[in-house]
Amino acid sequence: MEFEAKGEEMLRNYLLGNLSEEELQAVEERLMTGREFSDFALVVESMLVEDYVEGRLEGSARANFERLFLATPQGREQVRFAQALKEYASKTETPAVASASPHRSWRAYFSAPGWALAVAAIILIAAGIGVWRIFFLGPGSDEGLIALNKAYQERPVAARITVLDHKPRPTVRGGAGEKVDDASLKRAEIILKEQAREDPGAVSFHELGCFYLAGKDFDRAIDYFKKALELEPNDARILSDLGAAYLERGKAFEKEETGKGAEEFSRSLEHLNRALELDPAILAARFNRALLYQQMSRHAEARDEWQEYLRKDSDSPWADEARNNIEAIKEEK
Amino acid sequence: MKNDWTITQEAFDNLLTWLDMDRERAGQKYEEIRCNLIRIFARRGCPVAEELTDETINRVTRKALDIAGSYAGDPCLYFYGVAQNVYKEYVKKRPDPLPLPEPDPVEGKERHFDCLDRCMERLDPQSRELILEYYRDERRAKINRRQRLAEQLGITLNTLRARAHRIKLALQQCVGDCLMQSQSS
Repeated sequence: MEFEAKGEEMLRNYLLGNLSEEELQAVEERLMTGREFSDFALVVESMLVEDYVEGRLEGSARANFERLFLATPQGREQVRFAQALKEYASKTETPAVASASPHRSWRAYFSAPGWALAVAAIILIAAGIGVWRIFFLGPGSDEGLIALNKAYQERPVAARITVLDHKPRPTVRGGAGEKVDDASLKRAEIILKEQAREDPGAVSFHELGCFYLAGKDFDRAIDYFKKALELEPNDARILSDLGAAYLERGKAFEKEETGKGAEEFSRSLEHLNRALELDPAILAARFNRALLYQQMSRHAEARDEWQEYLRKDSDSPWADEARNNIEAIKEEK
Repeated sequence: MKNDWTITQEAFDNLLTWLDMDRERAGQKYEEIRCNLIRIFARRGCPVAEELTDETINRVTRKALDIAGSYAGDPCLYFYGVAQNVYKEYVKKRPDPLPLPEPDPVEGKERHFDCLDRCMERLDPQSRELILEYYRDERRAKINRRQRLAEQLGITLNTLRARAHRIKLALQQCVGDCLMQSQSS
């Protein structure tokens, strides 16, 4: 069963009654004729019901869900069953234990002697793992970002993305593109999208935005950074990445000669300035502002900004790039 | 909208022949079409999805012999075309929507849990483990748990979803039967 992001989104819109008459007919015809698509729709439906049960549907999505699903006996039964299953799973002992011993019901679990001790031990271990993650990985880090970092062996865009480690830029300009580990990229995509769906918030939107920015899907990246900023308007990292996305989109517009590049650069500068006002120590924003000045041929400001960057970071691979850029500015002059 | 015509054996045979010359495959196709139509009506928020599906099938069955000679496309799409007409007629006469039902009383929930208990025990241990693990936790913890589970099983997250969904469907069917039994006893 092939899960395509677009197909999933379209089916969610279908199930929430958000399609035009024409789109609705196209989807229903596929449902009638394609078994795989029909099976896929059932999985998407099941996920939507799960979202509703866990309170992740809001506003019009929730209202539409209730209008369509709760009006039918089939829909009500799906919701009832999902609620029961969720509660049941949360009250049943871990399957790892269950596999070693016969299955015990959720009631037996709570009446069994020693369960409190076991729960206490689990809580302590979980707390320990939580502290470890926060200390060593940071609150926004997880498997998705690890996979994203692994996916790109070369930096996909010139701008610095806050969640990506330093990678060299591709050496061959205009070639086949940067080296990408497709499996890791796919893994990052699945996890980051899942996170944004399951745990919508500034962190997950920001991380998914970074995924799109790295993939040069600037429109989507900007959408997600904006969504993240609505929730955390003073987050310098999100502002820096949004500034980076505008910078890269501006460069793309300039290549296409749409005449809209300057507007994008101006938006980029606005966001990078704001990021640095909020957090003067944020290196990604300073790096990106220097790149932006250089792109806008504001050579003096670019040189000053690179020098300022080097005062704050003089021995990383990013610093080497800063030095190279200062040299490049001198040569251009 | 409902028609007095009832399906005769001959008409039904004609329908099956039109769907497939092989009787068994025709039966499977018929069931698939029926399920798809019920889902389509239900997803449009129609509380009488089965009734409208039966009406659709009746109308197609009545014409099966003629259609077989003249219609060249996929029979599923013919059913869908008729279903659209049936739905339009339904919408014109649709009664006011019913108020949202009250949540299950406590005893209803208890029954659900008892049935889930029984049905879980009927699952093979691997499926039981998978479904419990899949539905445990919330939000980020759940995502990470599912990711780890997929890795342990050596499958992708999407395959895991599909697998969990299949187990869930079987469970839901079992729980539905169990609830019916407990209501009738």
